[in-house]
Amino acid sequence: MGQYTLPQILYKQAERLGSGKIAIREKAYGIWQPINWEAYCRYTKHTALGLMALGIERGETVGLILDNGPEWLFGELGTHTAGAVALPLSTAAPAERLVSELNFCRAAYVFAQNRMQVDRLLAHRQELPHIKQIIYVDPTGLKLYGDNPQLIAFKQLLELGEDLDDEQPDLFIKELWDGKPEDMAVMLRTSGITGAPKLVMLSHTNFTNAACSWVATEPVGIQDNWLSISPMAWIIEQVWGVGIALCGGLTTNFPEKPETLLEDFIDVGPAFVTGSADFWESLASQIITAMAGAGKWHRVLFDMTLDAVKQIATLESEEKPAPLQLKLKSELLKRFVSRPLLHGIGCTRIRAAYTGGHSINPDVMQLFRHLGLNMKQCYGLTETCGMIHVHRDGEVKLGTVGRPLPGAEIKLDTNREILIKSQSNFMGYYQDPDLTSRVLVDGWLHTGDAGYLDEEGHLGIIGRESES
Amino acid sequence: MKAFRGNPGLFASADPQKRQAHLEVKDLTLKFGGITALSKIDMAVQSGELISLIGPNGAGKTSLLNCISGHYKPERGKITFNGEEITRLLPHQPAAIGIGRTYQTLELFEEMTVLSNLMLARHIHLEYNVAEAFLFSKGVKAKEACQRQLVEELIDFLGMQAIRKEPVANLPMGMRRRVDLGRALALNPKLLILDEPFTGMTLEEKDDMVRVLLELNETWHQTILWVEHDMSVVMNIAKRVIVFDFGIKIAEGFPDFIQKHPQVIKAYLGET
Repeated sequence: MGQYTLPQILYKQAERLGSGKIAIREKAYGIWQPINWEAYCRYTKHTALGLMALGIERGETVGLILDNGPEWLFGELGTHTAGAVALPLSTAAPAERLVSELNFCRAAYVFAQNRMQVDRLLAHRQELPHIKQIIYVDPTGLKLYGDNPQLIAFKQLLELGEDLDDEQPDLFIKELWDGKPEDMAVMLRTSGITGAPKLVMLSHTNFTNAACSWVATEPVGIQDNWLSISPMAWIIEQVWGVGIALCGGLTTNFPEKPETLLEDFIDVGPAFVTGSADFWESLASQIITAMAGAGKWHRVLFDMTLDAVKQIATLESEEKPAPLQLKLKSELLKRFVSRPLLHGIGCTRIRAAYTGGHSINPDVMQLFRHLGLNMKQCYGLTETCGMIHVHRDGEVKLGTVGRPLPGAEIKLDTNREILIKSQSNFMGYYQDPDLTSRVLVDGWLHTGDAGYLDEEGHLGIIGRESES
Repeated sequence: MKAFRGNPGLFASADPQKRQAHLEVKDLTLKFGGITALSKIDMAVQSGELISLIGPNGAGKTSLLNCISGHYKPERGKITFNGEEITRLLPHQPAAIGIGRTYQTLELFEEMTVLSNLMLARHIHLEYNVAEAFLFSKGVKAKEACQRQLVEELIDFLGMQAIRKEPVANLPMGMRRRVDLGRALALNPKLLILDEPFTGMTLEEKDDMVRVLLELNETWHQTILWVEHDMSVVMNIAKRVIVFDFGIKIAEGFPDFIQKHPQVIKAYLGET
């Protein structure tokens, strides 16, 4: 897939999976509303053509201050189709930061989620001379602005796109295939490696390489449910949302509201979930607290389950066979204790649960693994376009982040700094060639993290290289 | 998709002509034994207005609302709504002619969920009887689904998705007030009467409520008569303010005028 841009992959997937397979599910009005691959491609096409009708030019930058929802995917891939660069920004970022980043990139168009974001942009209108149009998603409360020429509803943008499609039916295909995989797709803010905030430029190739390595390594398949829970301006969400989900044909599920996440999680029963260490640690603490307050028999059964699994794990690590009686006991307890518990938190169908970002407490990871959740640790940076290391099934070593994905090489320099060479290594920092040349030397990314490699090639992270 | 939302069917599909609300109160006097709660009140609410009724405790604000919604029967005077006299209506009748209200001491079914409370408020718009509901035919199911759609749009509009299935008894006061507003809106009233909707709310909840009231009034032309103690909110968003003191209307006008009115200052601060 490395020869295609992200919207070209969407187009190919829509041809392959059509209207029979679900690409996106969004919970609205209490019901999961499906969008199939054909509709996904159509909305993206109309978004792209709508932007073209507004006058977007190739190479321009489009800011996206959006919540996780279908409009994020249409907006971002529509931007790519029109040959422009997407700049995802956090909806929670202070107004001053939004203004400075939009100005830094000379963003010409901005997608804004709701009235709150539009209010913030209009309040700083004088400081944002490059913005030609603000496209708002949720129209609630925005009728009050009347006919402000700078504002246009996402719905109107789609209508403009439809009209342009009727007038020039070949335009979409032409623009779509004018895109080159080595073009810049996304700019993401990060403060990793050097500590100071900067914008990382990532190409379509970076995304497709990262996604394809993941699809080749992990058990990802068409229509597998993935639940989008982290902010879309984070690399982890970007690489899953417009990378892995697109290349692997996954179904992306968007919760109704952040407050309904747990309920929606249980509804969906995702096959994969990517959560920060905080997310899993908080879930583990909820389980432990709930068990501490449970009845005596519940507590006894819970402790027996963990004991049995631990005994088997210890025997396996010593390469000794587990007695049949212990195996039987463990299986029974798994069926009657672990599974109902996992079911209660929506984790029954999870094939792999990933954690990354910060190191996780090994006890937390062990608890989930003992309960039967296939939990794995990942390692990656915005500069590597997300995860570059992951535990493989059957090779999970606590305290490490596993082995590199196919196509990635890793080595340690004399200071134990981790160096990474991969096709998903970023293009550079936006308008900062000096810093880029210091961080990216002969194709090797100097991560600034210190680590060690064990005898099986598993990487362990010690911390920041400057601190080690 | 969010892009296709923001137009709750309850407001968007309603014919503006049919949502006209003109309330007139003339020479209204209400007594409880020897106490005169309201004395010769004259006031009017025009269609599309956002009017705030203020006054110190015991001024007669809630008494006036109770007269409009049929809970109290005044000794003298007349209340008309869209030309029709409503002075002697029973408490359940104003809802049927398009007057919805919230209560200072919330009147919700606490053991029922938020969704059920709102669905129940749609009962006057149901087009089937008890026998048909019992049989739950295809037609009834379709009508029920339409009502559910309208209620779900309202839940979306008020941002109550996370508490949809929560019994009201489990909710904090600010959220209950929002549910109470939802219950009143579910009636699709021509005139919405709110009795101290900001009481017990956090600052953030107040901000949200202000946005909702402005959206209702400015976008959907909802006529609102609103009793309030929070002066900063009143002076910021009310289009017109009426002030009561000891059952007498002492002032009426734009917020700027009211803020400088000597009798209002006297009523709130006492003699100086």
